[in-house]
Amino acid sequence: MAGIQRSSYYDRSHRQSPALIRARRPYLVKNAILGASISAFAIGVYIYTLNVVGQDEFEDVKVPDAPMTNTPSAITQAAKK
Amino acid sequence: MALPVDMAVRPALSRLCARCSISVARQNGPSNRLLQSAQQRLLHGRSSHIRQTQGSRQSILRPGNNTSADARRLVSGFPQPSFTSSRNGPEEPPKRVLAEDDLFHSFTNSPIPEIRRRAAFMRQNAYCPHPDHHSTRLPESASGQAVSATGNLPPAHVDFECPDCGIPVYCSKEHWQDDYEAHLEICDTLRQINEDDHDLRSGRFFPEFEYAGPQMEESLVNMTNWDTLLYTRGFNAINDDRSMRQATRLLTYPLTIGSILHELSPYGIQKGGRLTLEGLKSFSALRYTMHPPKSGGGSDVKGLRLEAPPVRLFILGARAESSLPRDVWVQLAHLFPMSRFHLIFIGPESMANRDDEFPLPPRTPANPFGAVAEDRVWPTMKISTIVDYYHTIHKAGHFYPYDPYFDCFVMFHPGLGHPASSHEWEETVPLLLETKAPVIVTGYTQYDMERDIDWVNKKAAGEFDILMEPGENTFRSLRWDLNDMDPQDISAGNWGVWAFRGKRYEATRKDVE
Repeated sequence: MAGIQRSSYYDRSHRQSPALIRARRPYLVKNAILGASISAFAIGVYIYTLNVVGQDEFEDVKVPDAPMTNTPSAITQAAKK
Repeated sequence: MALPVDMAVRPALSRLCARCSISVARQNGPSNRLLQSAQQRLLHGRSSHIRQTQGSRQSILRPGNNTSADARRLVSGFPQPSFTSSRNGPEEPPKRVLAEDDLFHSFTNSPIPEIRRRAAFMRQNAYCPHPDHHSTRLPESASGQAVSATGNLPPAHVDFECPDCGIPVYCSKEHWQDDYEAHLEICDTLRQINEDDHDLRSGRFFPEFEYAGPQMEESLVNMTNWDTLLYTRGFNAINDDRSMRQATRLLTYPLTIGSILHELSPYGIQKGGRLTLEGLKSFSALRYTMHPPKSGGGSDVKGLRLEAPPVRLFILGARAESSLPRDVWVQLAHLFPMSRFHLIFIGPESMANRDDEFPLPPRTPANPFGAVAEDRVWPTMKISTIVDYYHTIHKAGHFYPYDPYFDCFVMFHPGLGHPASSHEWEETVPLLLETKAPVIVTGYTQYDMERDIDWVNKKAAGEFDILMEPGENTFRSLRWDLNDMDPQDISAGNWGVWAFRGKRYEATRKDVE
């Protein structure tokens, strides 16, 4: 029971009334195709990006040979500063 | 109302669609609406209404409001009102005479007295279409049977009612059985007509007759088909097919005109769009007036701007259209919020079903044709009704000058080429061609329209331009109507539409002697 003026084009369970479906009929197919193509494009961009970024091996990041020794006192002193 | 002479001479009268005078012309104004109780609105749905008080006309209950008062039923006099008590007590709930699933009744045994009367009328006037009888009907299509048809038997009135559709269609059961295949073609539609007629008189509440109010200019109207139009105009959802039929039967009149004149019209010059180049020229002139460019005007004194005069729509040969509830005609004004309209109903029968407005105003020098003027229909719409032939008024120069930017003629099913009615248009149509204003004409079938075009061609000697090719009207009435004089003749209001205009020659050749 939302809204001050309930649209008669939706019934109590918020489903589209037959009148609305009839009004939408000239555009259903065209809208579906357009919607499908836009979402396909968006998903395609995601897939492409994830693939391309996933191929990056990060060779340019220098990984140090020996791990750093972190004593607890060194860490707390660094935190206080 | 109509002279007996007219009744004899015009079987074309019988082609008029049954008009139910559902004059739900309720009191105008939002405040009145809010004050009305829900019960009163229920009552106003179908059974009664109170005419807007204006001028000398008092608030009255239209007598014909419960019945289908089509123009040819002048013979049977006034339909009886069944809600006389509501004159005093608008709070009484309407009486539901027929239940939702109880709408199919044989016409002769119908619970509604008016329909029984119609069945009796059909029995006295309609002829059996079986080919064994001498032919009584004109061919309805180009390939119709020849007039000198095959029958031996004299024509007989219909008597036998088909059990499937409930309408008397043949003179006897044998003829019905014999001609069953031909009858099957229309049996379903006849049954639908039967149920719709009973539905109209069933006393239910008609939510589909609550029309949408004015629309803001920015909210565009989509005129692809009825459903998109009603949705974008903000009508309440009409989910049921039967309700759709009842509603479109009235709304077809203003919306046919509106759909052609509007700039978002579904007809265009593209292939299949039916508008010709000349049509685009004529209607662009009108659209220039009806969709004026923004002028920076406002409601204060500084915002005063020069406005175009109102667009005059001359509705010629008006019969039942002039008695349509004003709520219906105002839908035309809502389509064009920036334009003013003057609807002028002209015709000898233009006061059909409007008996409460008699006597007509006297013919004075100020009002030379005794026009009934309703100037408070809507702030931007005025309606006048003149009971006279158009050629008389044209020759008197009453509406002169005609300007293609402001004037348009409309004829609803005039039957220009129909043998019974064409003689009445003989004088008028040449004068229409002189005005060079567009003329929009509707018709019952493709054949009907083409016959009209041929007739105009003959009368005009070809000096006319087709503005819109004849074809199906996107906003035709979805409800089929029965012709009481001939039950086989079913028609939908404004099924097809076309338009023409007189040719304009800047210079013509003079024959050198």
